[in-house]
Amino acid sequence: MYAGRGARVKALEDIRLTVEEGQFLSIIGPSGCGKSTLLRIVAGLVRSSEGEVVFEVEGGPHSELPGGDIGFVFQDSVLLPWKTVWDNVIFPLQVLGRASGQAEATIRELLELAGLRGFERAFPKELSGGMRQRVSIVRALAMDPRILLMDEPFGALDALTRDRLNIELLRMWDQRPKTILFVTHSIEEAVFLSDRVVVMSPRPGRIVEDLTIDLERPRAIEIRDDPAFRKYVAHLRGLLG
Amino acid sequence: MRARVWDVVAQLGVFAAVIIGWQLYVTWGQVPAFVLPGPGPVWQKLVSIAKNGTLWRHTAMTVYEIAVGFGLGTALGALVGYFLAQWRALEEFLQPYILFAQTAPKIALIPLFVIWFGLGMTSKIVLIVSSVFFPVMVNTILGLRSVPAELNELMALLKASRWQRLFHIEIPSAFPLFMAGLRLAIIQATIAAIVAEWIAGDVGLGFLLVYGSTTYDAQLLLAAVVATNVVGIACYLALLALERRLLRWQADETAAHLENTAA
Repeated sequence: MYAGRGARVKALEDIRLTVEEGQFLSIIGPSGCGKSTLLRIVAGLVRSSEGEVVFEVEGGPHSELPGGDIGFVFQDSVLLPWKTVWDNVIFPLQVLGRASGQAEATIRELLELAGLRGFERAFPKELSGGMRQRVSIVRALAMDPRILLMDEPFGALDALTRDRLNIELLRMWDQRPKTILFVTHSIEEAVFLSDRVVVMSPRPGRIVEDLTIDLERPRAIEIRDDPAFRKYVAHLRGLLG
Repeated sequence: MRARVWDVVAQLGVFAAVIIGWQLYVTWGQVPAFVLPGPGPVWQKLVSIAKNGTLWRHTAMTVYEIAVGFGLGTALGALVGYFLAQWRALEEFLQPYILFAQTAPKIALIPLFVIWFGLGMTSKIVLIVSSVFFPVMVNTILGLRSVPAELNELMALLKASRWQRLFHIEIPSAFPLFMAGLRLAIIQATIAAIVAEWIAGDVGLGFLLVYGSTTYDAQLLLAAVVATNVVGIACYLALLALERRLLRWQADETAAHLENTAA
């Protein structure tokens, strides 16, 4: 569907980062290292004073993508409390003028994948934190963005829910590959999910490590006991010490 | 459910106790009827003015004034609130004046309104509108500013237009605080209508109150007080019912508020 040659990202000062299309890249680092700011610069929500973001899509490099090409998942689900789950998920498509029968079929499929079938008519208030965050991920995926930016999406959830959502996220990503930039505090989460983990230093944020995670997919939760997995985690922990 | 029934019983009990206390005070204290008539005669008076149509004529006028004044004041307050919410610099500049206008007792202005607009309908409506306008405007601004930053970011990513932001995000986000503003405003509107009728006009429940007072008809006066209260409570409850319908997604809070109000 996307003939793009990869979304190339280069941001702020010392930060030079190129992300291939379809890659799952995690950014970890201590609080305040500018991880979230980096995501917002990529999204075009924050203008950087220096440097630039370039998206290499069909037809050449662009500094900005059209509406709906970038999905964002926040730490809080940021659902509209007055809309049901279904309406929350379809609303970005309505804003984009892309709500169609086919879009609805996609949404049904995504809700199924996220284990939210039967909750279409529920209001966010009636859902648990984990379910709300799933809705927010489905909302981002439903508009079929080129790039999905996730800012500590599971940071507020308990460990068990977090594990389950990690697996579900990989399953959804498997079905609909996207370029994902995933910001997290958790080393294990980063290694488990990613093709590549970038480590940032405390302010001013610089990239101190760019590690390729060479573990086979699909990954099950048991992979965390794998010696190779432990080695990646130990290496990253050493850097963040 | 059982607890709910007992609540209602207890509430009715308080009402009955007040009526009985009133009756006992009048009987034992040998209070003259022109000072304080008992609940019986007041009720009879209420029934008689209801039968001969006096009550309805005056009530209809008061309700009409409240409806027109509240409607106009709400529309104006929402509109100005919307523009001030967009234009933060202007709102900050106007802040002290808004505060002044908001806290100034508008009732003190009725004599001036009478000079400007005469003794007719206009003065009354102007007073009601000025009482409704400020709580609605202030709460509209607060409501529109309550939109979470992330929702604005979401709309920015979707490249949403001004109108899409307004209808998808801003109006629904602002709605709970807007409705809270209306609740304050409807009480102000009722008070303003009654007070305006004291001074301007020859019809309305406020006029009936003054008429009862000047003719030493304490029965009529108290009957009018009862009618005034019923109108005020009815307006407030109608608004709450509307709010509960429109804000079903946060039904819990509204229901809790209704219960608190009833209690």
